[in-house]
Amino acid sequence: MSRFIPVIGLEVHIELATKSKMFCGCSADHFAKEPNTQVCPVCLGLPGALPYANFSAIEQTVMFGLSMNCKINRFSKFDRKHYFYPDLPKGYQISQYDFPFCVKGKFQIPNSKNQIRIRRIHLEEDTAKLVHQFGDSKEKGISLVDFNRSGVPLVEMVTEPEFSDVDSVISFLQEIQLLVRYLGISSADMEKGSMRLEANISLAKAQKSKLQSEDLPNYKVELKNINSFRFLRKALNAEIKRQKRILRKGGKVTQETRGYDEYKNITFSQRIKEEAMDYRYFPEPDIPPIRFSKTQIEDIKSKIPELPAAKRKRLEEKYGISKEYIEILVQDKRRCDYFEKSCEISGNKELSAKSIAGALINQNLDRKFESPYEFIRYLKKISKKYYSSLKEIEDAIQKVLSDNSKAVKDYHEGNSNVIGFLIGQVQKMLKGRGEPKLIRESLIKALQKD
Amino acid sequence: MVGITKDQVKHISRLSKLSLSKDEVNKFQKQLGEIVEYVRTLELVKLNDTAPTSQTTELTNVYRNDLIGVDGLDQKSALSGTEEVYNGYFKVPSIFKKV
Ligand SMILES: [Zn+2]
Repeated sequence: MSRFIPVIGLEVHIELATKSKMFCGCSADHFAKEPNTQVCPVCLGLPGALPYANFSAIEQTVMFGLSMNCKINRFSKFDRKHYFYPDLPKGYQISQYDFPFCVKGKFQIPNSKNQIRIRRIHLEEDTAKLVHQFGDSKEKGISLVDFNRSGVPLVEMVTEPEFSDVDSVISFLQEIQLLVRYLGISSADMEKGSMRLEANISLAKAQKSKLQSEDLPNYKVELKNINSFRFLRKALNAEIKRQKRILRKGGKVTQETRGYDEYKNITFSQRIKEEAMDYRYFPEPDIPPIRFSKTQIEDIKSKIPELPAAKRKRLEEKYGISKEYIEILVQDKRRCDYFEKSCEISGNKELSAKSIAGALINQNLDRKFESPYEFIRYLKKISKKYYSSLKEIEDAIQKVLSDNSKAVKDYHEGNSNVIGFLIGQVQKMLKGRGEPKLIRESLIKALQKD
Repeated sequence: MVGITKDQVKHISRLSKLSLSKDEVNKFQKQLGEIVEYVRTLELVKLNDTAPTSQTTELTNVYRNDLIGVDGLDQKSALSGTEEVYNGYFKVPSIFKKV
């Protein structure tokens, strides 16, 4: 039986968290707002309205591109992409065609040696939101349109089809979500639709384990309307299974768009792809092109904070804490900052980074103490209370043994009851800060040496 | 005369969501063909020394800052251009699949 290797590419849409929309001054914060209350002639597509580009959105797109190791096009422009649909009031979407802001990036999949090449990252406007109404019989079979989302800045990232397993797809996407949150350019919340996923997938017949370009299949199936990582994983697995079945029987897989039915755990055809989608792109005449200077790009680059991959590496080198701890901290930037501040405050060997991370993560002490100062003060207090150092314990034992020669003699004559008494004496000397188990072990060791 | 073909007219009408009768296809083939021919006269212009451009204004980098404007419409005004409304939404015929 021939072996098949999945060939998967991704399209990711991310809504930017700017204050205003892409081409007008309406609020871009549209989630759960009264319908059609954040609209104006521009985003309703009324005749004569003119788009006026939001610079923050452009800057954030470039920042994202730089973080994905893309080349930034020094010359760029917007184009009109035409299609008819009720969520698109002008009959075209302002997008970017041949000069997107960012091209030719590459991005490391976390915990993997593989890099994925990024084909392009461009900026466009989001469409209106369609609500399908099933409800009462009178209004059956209508769709409702809310233009609050129309014109919200939307970034689209397209990867090369270089994923060959579903796990890599998911960890790549989770890392993108984290990165976007680090950059502070989007909440990347899939439930709210501020991050949306599409995958294209085909199967290559593989002779060797590594794919050659001539092995690439001549079709692709697009999976759309996927709204969680979990769904995407299931949809990809179901689709790989379906394509394998067809190809093993010697069949041909139709190039088309498919959705995913979670109840049946199968993908289903949404439409057969027409010739090629004919979007009749042309340059947007109402928005002058964009030219970036080198300094401008450097300037944007300087605003990029430490990103997750660099943070993981640094935490490991600087603190030597476990991979599990590192991951928990990297996933929660606020918590990580708290941890680092705590280590800085503690600043001595008494509290190791490991014990600080442990107390923070396992006991959620960052929730109990708002300030890292209080947290460290508390840690120092309990560490003193319960844990005198081994040296302190041994010194105390020596002193107690020489002060209580009668008890020591009793012990050697077989009266082990005196141990309790001796432990009490040691603890008294340590002002109750000794760990009982450690005192007992050290004491017995010392007695047997005696 | 090159003009355009009947298939091209049909293709354009499909993209425009217009259904054309046979007579209309003939009519528009002729009319659109004439327009294409007319635009073709631009090919006579000598452009050897002219760099291609996608604009005529010669402007670049026209931006605004990310601020919320005051020229928005309230819901009533936004919906005033149609009678097809439902609970603050525009109402359109049901569409389940993107075409
Ligand atoms: Zn608007």
